[in-house]
Amino acid sequence: MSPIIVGIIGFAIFFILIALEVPIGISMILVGCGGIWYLVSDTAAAIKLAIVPFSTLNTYDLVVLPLFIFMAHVCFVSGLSKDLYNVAAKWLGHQRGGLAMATVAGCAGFAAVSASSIATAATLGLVSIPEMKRYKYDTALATGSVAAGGTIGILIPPSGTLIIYGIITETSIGQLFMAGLVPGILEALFYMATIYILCLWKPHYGPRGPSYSLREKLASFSSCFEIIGLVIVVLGGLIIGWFTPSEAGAAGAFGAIVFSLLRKRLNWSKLKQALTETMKTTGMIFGILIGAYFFMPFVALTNIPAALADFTSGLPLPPLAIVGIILVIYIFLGCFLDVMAMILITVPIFFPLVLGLGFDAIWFGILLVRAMEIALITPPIGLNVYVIAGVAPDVPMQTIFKGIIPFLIADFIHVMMLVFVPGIILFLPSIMY
Amino acid sequence: MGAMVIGVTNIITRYAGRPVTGVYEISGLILVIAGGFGLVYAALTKSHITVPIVVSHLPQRLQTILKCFTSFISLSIWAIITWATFDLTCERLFVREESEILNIPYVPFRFIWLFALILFCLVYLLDLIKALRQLVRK
Repeated sequence: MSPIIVGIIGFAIFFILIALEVPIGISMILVGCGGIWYLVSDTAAAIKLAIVPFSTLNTYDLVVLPLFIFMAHVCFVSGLSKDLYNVAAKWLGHQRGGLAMATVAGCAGFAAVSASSIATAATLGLVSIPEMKRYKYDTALATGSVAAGGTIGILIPPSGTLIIYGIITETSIGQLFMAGLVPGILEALFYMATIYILCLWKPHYGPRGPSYSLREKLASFSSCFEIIGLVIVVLGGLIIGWFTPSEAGAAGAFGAIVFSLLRKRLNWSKLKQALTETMKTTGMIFGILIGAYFFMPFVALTNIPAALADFTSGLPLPPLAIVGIILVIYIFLGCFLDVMAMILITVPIFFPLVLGLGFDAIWFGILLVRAMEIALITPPIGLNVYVIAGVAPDVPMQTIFKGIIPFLIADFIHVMMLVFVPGIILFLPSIMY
Repeated sequence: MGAMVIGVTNIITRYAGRPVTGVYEISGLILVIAGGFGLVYAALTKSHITVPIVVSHLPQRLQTILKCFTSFISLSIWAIITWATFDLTCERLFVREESEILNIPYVPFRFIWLFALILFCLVYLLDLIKALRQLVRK
């Protein structure tokens, strides 16, 4: 049997296994190891089984991941999300749809400490949905804005998805973080503009909230200025080159603990909660990562990436159209698969193809994350939608999906901009490095 | 926490002109412990990522049968990895396998990883027993 056929059968088995609810990491190990057994030898597979899991864990480059996750959990247990939302609500709440805009701004702010979209959506959802309900906001707009806003979590640095992409493609994590900043802020502005237009069209969707004096608005920063400073130092230090990514994560987590202790917002039980949550998330990610280190060599052995590159280079399509097709595939896959798993399964296939077409690895990384963000709010799975449904159990899923539609339109325009104006992504990394 | 302390110490000492030696090695080995037990904890709290889109629509009895299947598959895979790790650990016991800069012996960390793997298998074994019991009761 040719390696390509083995690869196709491997992928089919993999998808059957995950449809049967076998954990994704285990499905990857099973298929990866079975494939190596068939294509190389049983000894090669047995050696991989003994060596890969330990060597995956014993990797300095991966230390960055639990450190940024820990930073986000410390900020969460010490109530930072509420502070960020309050600041945004004081500045924007008096406008039509202002609280929904504040939610998006709060999501963008929390994204600067959080590496995950789900965490961002869940955290801000808990704070903002009750507030929007209180001001009689349209339920679809209220829940849709949190679900969409939450996706910014994986684009604005630090981003777990960009870290993984950087590690497996050997692209600079600092440059990727830098590249995600402007598109992330722009995405938040697009969402806010969407809310503004929606509330101009249907004012009852987002009634005005109370307005505050400039003094009150400025005073709102007092509750979280040190964390804002910490984010600037940590991400700035990483970008300028003061810290390695792991050191930036360590400094961020340490700073978050110190500031939370100074504010008397962190006690032993909250720290324990942050630690156990970090451990759980780390275990979850490492479960897939270990699987990926079995799956990736198998994919390489099958020659599928090379065959795909040959096939697409023969297609009568411009390179941008091929990237467009890849992004559509990502959005489709993202409707069923977890973001992390999707990156680890597909990047070994698509990355060489995109580089072969002459595109930039950083540009593609950001587009990939954008496609995954869209997938996070697209039916039938749309993980962020499930998170919001958990936070607001009285809101039917259809209402949340209805609320998301305007944001998906904004997403489409935003992605088009990023595709046709690559400078939005590449400008900052090019001047900083 | 350990990796955080080492990372911060390294930043401070590096700017003071005396960086901590072997940060990469220490942090990597800390990750073996944190990641190993993280895997177990994630299994215990059912946090390992699955795609429930198909199975959740199936009849309850079929779901239980599939639960037995997935627990069995998971247990088998991790049991094989545990066995392979045990084999490798025994082999490395008599070789001086250590880190390059600080000469930290790897064997204790291999045993910790092995211990985490055994716990991991136990979690899936319990899952399998639970699913089988559920199946028998119905």
